[in-house]
Amino acid sequence: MFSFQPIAIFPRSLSFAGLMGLGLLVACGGGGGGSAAPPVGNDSPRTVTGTVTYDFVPASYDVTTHAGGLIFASAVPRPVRNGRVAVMAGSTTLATGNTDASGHYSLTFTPPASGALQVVALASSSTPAIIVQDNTASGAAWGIGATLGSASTQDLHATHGWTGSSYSAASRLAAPFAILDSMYTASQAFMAVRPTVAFPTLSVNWSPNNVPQAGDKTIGQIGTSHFSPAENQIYILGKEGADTDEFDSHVIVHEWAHYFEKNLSRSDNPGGSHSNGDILDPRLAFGEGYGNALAAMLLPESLYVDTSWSSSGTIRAFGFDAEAEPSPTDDAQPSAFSETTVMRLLYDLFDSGANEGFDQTGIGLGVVYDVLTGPEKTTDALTTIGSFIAGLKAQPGVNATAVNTLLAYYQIGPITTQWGDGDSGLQAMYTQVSSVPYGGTVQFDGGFDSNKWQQNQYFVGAGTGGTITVKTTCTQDVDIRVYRSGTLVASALTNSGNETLLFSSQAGVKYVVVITGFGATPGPYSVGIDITSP
Amino acid sequence: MNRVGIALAALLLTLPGCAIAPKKAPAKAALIHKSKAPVTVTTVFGDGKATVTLRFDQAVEDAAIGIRGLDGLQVANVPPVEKTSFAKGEALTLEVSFTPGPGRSHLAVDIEGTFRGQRRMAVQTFAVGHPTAEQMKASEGRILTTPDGQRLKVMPVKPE
Repeated sequence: MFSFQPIAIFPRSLSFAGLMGLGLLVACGGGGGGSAAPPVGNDSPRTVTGTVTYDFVPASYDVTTHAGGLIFASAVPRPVRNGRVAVMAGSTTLATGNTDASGHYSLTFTPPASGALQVVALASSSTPAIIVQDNTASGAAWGIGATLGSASTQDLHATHGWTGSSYSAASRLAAPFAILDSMYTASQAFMAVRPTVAFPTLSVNWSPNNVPQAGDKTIGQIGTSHFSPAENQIYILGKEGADTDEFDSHVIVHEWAHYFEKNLSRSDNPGGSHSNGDILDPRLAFGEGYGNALAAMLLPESLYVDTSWSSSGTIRAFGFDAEAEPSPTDDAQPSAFSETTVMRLLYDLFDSGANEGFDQTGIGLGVVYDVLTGPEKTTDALTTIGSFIAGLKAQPGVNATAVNTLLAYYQIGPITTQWGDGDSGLQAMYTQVSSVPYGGTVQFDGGFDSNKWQQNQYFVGAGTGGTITVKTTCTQDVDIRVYRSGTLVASALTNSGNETLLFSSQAGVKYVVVITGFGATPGPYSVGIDITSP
Repeated sequence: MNRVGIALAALLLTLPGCAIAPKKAPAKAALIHKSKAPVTVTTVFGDGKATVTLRFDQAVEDAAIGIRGLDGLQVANVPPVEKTSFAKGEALTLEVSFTPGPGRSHLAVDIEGTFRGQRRMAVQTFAVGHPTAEQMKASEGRILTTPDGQRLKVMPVKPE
């Protein structure tokens, strides 16, 4: 049973300035450490110090035995770093601040003449601004609170709440702080090598009601853990007995990587279902392989682990290693179209590779950041391993020969341009349109999903300065999309194979026309392409 | 055909055709999600019965399938699945009896198996019923709204 104590509410922006001066009376469950004696107002400043921690629960997976799960017996307290903390007296905010790298805080305030005091720690950080909120409670920011008595120390600890067979809802406090810590780790890794990086505010939605069912996100039907580009927010599963991801740091940072792509780099990833072994559209292969590789670099830990519940009520896991390829292999057809290839290639580019003869690169996070926020963001081509490698080779100090050796190990040719020149498969994705009118055909393979290599082809050409018309002729459904440096310029998306699209072009500017097929019947079919400009 | 190199085209010839109907291009904004087992699970609820269909988007070996209830939903008569290998495009339909829990409860379907050499899992839930007022409260803690519309949810810590 809760007792209700006064506590103040923070604005969602959660700036220090916003915290100061807020004066709102709200109810909050009470408890907390320290004496229950009310403070005595004497106009003398008072200082309270303490530490904010949460239970970190390791997720484990053995790639050989496939055993794994959440190891609650190995849970350890970890500091809440850069977390927002405040002392509140009824409706008045008396002091605010942030924890340091060890979770310590120190707040000095002048107590009021009467009324209880509270210390509140939010699952939110300031630098960068990350807020973990409850999507099933209208986006309320998660926090923990404790009554502050006369003691000068008030620690706050967010427990995992696991009782041995299930969670205690009242004690399941660590989840939002674990999510925050994974995001903070990812952010800090880049900030350590590129201190000027400015991350836009990130809202992360977690709730114990977040189920693996698509539907209404406000009641927890989030589908699965994902990044929503339209909302620029991340959603994380939390449903006990089904799938919880708060301690699956790789899952969390993978989604953070998509947030990074959208806000500081670029993604042309068409999305859709995908899995290892698929021959994907190379935009999708890069986006998903990049997400897993970046999580491994930033955490840093090469083993991806994702836990979930089995029908027997136990927590199990699956995973894969960004560094070590298993035997038998999980990447039977390495190429620029395989997300597993992209993952291991990017990770090998990043790490030192001292124990691998084929890996003599170790570009580190700084160069990875420079490529992602530089040439990968501005490429005229689409974002694939081709654009990344071309951008990487343009960085000072990068050994192109060593990069080519690594590419060869993964059966990718020595890429020289953003268009994939040097790798026959990737180069063939782009049909160069040197002049208009242009007429040609492309052969797709029906029966594959529309985000697979078999149903996509890119056409590249320069604008004429006038209107350009693109037409397709096909017995199967086909879509047309036109991009300029990754920005959608025009599209034709009817359910017909005979699409027509017009767009105004700028002379000399590169445009990429993506033709996507939806042929349902297995087997080849042809798509006619005509590009004209008056 | 000018889209691929010879080696890759030859490699593709070794791939079997599949019966999976491609979908219209998904909305780019909605589908950047975590990896999961390539299985599509659907459920149709009837009068005390649920028909669960699993469609394998890739071939799987060592598959294990479970069906259970959450939030008080009770499942009965779950047929045993002795088959552990399924081909790409193959579908498995299971009919179970269930009794809903109070308010909103969930039927959960989980699949684990080896897909192209990688162990993968997936869990999918299916909601039944409408939430009670207690369930609408969402979880422990107090939900509060500031005059400017900002909301905060503070969970009480237990005494040390």
